[in-house]
Amino acid sequence: MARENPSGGCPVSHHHHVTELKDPGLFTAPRLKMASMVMVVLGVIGFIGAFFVGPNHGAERAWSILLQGMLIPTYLSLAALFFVCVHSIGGARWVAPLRRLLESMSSGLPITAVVFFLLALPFLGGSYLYDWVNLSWNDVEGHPHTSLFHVYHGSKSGFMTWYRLLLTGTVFITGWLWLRYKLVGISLKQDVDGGCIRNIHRPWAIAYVMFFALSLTFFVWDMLLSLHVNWFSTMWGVYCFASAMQTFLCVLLLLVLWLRRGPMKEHLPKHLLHDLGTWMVAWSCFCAYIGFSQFMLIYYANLDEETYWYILRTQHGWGLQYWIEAVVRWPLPFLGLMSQKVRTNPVALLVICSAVLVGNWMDWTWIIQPAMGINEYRGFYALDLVLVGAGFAGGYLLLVQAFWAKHGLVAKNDPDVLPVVNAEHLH
Amino acid sequence: MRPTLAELENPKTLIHESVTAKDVTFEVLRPIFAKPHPMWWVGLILAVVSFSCMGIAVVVQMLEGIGILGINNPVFWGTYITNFVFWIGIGHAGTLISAILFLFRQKWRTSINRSAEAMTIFAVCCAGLFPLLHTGRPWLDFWLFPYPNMRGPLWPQFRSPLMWDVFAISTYATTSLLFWYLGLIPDFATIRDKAKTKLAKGFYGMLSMGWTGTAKDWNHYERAYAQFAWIATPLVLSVHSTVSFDFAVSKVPGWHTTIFPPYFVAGAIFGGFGMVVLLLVPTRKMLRLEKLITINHLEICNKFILATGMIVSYAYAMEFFAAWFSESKFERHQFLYRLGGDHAWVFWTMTLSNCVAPLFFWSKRIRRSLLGMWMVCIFVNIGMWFERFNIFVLSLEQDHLPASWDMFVGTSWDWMVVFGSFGLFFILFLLFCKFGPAIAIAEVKSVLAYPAGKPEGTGHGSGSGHTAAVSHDDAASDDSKPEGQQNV
Repeated sequence: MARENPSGGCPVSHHHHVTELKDPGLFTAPRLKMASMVMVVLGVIGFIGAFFVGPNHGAERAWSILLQGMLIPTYLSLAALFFVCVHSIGGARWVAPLRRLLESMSSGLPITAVVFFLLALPFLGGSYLYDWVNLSWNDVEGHPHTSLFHVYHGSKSGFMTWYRLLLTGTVFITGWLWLRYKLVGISLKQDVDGGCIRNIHRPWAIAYVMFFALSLTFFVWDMLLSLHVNWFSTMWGVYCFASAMQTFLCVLLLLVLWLRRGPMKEHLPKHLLHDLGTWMVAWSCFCAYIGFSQFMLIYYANLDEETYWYILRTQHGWGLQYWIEAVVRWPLPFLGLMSQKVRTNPVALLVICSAVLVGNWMDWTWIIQPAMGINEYRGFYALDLVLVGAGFAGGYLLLVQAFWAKHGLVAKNDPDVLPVVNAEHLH
Repeated sequence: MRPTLAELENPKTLIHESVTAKDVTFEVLRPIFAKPHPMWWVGLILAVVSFSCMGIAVVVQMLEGIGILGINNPVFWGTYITNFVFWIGIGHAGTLISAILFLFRQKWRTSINRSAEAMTIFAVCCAGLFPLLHTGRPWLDFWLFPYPNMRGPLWPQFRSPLMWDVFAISTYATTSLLFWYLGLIPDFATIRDKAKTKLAKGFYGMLSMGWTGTAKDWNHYERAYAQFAWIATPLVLSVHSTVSFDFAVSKVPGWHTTIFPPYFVAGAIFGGFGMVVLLLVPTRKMLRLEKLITINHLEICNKFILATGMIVSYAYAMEFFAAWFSESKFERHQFLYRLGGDHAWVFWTMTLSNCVAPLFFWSKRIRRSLLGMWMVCIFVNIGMWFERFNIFVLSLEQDHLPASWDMFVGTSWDWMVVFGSFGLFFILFLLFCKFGPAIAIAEVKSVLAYPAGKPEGTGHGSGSGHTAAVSHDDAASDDSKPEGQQNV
């Protein structure tokens, strides 16, 4: 009955019935690999250059742009796993043709592991980025660590230290890597053994989602919120989670658009584009909802200890950037992708996803840079920042491609792939 | 061989494959034309008695003023506002099921959406009463609406979140009512066609608005339904977010925290599903709808309760962490007060009911046991009422000014109203069960394995493309496994 299919049937009807899918096999893209390597080199140049040249050059600038770059592999990998797991828990089969691709997108965590230590170690990035790391490392005479925490004799000072940061960060990253190893391992085993893995995959998926909720919250609390050690917002974890998901969906859609022109042509019919586009609309609304709620509640209550965070981020050009970001991240995908036709149009998806991706990059700059240079605007387009961003994107893509070369693009022996490609779940 | 009731209740597909379209019509219409079940009468009498308590309290309040309640200075908001938020929350599961799950193509929603939507409407009716009564002079409540008037400078204060509520809730009530009614039209027409008496024919004929069931009718209907689903979807988020703004835009410790909007929404869905399961377990028995509302449907609701319960627990944890992290004396004090103050039992009741009780749903056996799920859902409902009490009353009891601290002690009028609001809700729900189709007939027919009856010699289980598998994890195949493999 059409009633059960709100998508109306428009994206499905153009599709012919497929009886057999050609396995694209292991996949390499030499030109993309070359480009990714160039990007990594540019990133290294950008990072080193930020120490010595540029309008804001210096160690603080270099480490802060490294922090922003680290969000790329971290957010994408964690969100990709979350996406796999949520659909596994809900028993949603429609992602079956995408599953291997999603798993490949979770390959960026080793970069997070390395860069986290560079950023957190007090004698490297930590002291430059975080006052509390610096002071808990060098308890300078006259500036004891506790002086940062003004109430109750600095009762927070025992928690906000460089060694606690290293400890929890290590636990989180180890947990992520281990759960990823388990989840991807179960999926890869199906390639060889076949059969239905739903009941084996689901417990690990639940474990991941629960661990992810808590670990991501505290990870972004430490790495981003604590750039201002006395600011706080209970929404912070949700806010970063929303941004991570939106970024991930953009990248996923861009990869899907690219791969369906080549090796995954048969596996990614239009109705999958439609469903991913719908997710994009939904997450954009969620991002707007969370972002608005956080801003509005702080603006309305007008308490000094909270508003300063937003005041720093609405002056000197940051406010204008925030407006642009807000439009790019919500009205653009919401209105742009409202029509079913547009949601299956590759060009429109390409344009909108790229714009939303830039919108999230603006958001990360907007979170990090005002904490580094008070009362001045440092654009999201600054050369050193863009180079470092490209470096992380390149590194991430290299790991993703290594996964493709080793494990291919599509899950083999998954009984759900063919029915989904034939849109049987929509009838 | 005819399947037993136990088999019909635990089918391998969403609804047992032996159920045909004809059965659905018959089963859903039976309670409407039959004499009510004795349980129905008992329920109705109890509900009327309890609602009378509220009626008496409200009349006394009108004569005496709201001073008869336990509210004081500084606890200006007591049980009325607690009730208000509690009932608004109860409605959310209905909208989620009818709108969001429709857009997500969740076929299991079909057997329960109608009654859940009915609960939404009735819960909003209950909820709406409380702010109106709490104004103290309910006969002047029309002042809340902005229209040209001769009251001089008296004009609604649009900067107040209480005014935002007026619009959020009236929009919500209107949309939910229209959406619900739209879905009822084809079913009213079915009742009209099957009705024997002239009175019933006329009554349901009027309600069905001339529905004839032509392809054109269905075409318009389905378009309208999908559009309503899109309109109702943001309301699931916006209504309870606006309600949370009543508190979160203030400066009261424990109220002003940024996670309130999504946390209230998750809590509302949690409590809403709690009420859905709490009511459906006896209702399906009373109306003999076990064939159509199977354990599979209830189990999925229980999974929602488990998931949203954990989201709510996350929010509680973040509130505590942020209160400590903020180093605000007032925030820290408030959360310590909740943990160990004079009203600590409220906090611990809430925590046990909302964070611990749903964890029993990790066990598949409890998720699929009628008694088990009913017990857990009683806790969920108690917990959600106390959650609101915990937030509103405890924060007001000890806010920034120690000189004005005071305890809230509810009077018997308070409790009569709390008790009576359940009476109102149950009266409306019981009347609906008797006179309306408690299940969306047309929608359930669309998910049957063999709407026209199972043809001879058809293989087991897998039917046409319409077969809706149970929550995608094949309940039946799981049943044969040892418990340990299923739970996680």
